[in-house]
Amino acid sequence: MNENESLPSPNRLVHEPARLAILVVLSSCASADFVFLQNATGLSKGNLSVQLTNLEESGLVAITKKIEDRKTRTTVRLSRQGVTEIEEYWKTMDAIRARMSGAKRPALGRLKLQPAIE
Amino acid sequence: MTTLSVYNINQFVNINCTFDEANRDRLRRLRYVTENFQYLKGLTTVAFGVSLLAGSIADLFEQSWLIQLSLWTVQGASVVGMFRLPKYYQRRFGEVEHRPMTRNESIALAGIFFVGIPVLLVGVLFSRPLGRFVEYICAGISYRLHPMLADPNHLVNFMPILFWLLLLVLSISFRRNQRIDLRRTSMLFGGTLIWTVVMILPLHYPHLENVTWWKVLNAGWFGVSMILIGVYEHLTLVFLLPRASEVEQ
Repeated sequence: MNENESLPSPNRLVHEPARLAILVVLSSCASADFVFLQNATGLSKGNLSVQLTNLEESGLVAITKKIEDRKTRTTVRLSRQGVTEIEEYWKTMDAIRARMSGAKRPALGRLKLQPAIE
Repeated sequence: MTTLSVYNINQFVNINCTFDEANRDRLRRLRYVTENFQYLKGLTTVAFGVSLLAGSIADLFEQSWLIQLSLWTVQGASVVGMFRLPKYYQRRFGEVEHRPMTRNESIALAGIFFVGIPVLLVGVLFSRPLGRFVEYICAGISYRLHPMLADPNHLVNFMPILFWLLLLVLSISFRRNQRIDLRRTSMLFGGTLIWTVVMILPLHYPHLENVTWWKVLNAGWFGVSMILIGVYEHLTLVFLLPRASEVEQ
């Protein structure tokens, strides 16, 4: 048996860098549109679209599409489950960090989250 | 970078724990940009500053109708720009709906509102005596400050220095992201120093009062300040967003 077996396991759906970047953006606001997410994360349109679909299928984000000036505007917000998952994720990461290095510093500073949608 | 072996129900998964300093910094930047996106749309502030600058220096060039006409044109264009730039930001950088206020923030805002309204009412009702009182106080401060700087002729304009000093104090008080806000504080500190030097220069070189660039800076300090702050905010937004696909790399 490995010594690290008892380490808590972060949610792999959240841990993936592209999805984590999306979730960090969404956890800092009520909602963001596709263009902002693309600019903020630096992902290509295709990749962002795939990641958002994955997150939506897992129930972490809610996607709404509406037509404005004959163009489709995609807005994404974190669901209640998404808020819980990302909070859990930071707790897990802090626990892992604390175990690995004895550090008490949180993984991303003090992150106080609120559900973006009820 | 630390590599962890985590035991999952029936498999070992090697997770590259990507929480090295660079990654943490990237996520902090993302959070900062998202939370402050509204304030980082600096080009609107630039347009506002250009409009103010053009308006405030128009008096300096009364004799030249060509310069006057150019200034009006610039002023008109910047006002149009102020209305068009939000659309540009929406198209180029997207849109963010900010989080609803927390309970404490709402209480603070309500407090400001309930204190602010009576203060405003008193201000409107007693505007004349209050105005005279404020003028008296400012004149008192000014009459004490100028002799301290050996400036009996009131050559130094304190307003830009005080304005930048106020911004500097606010920036130090409301720091959220240490690294990014430290840059902003440094910029404001530099700005305060430069304005102080520019405004104090006529004490040593009295002929500067007749030099055009100094007259422009003195008359249009607020517009110039707005332009500088707007450019800084816009550049902050541009530089904080990933240039290449950092995540995909």
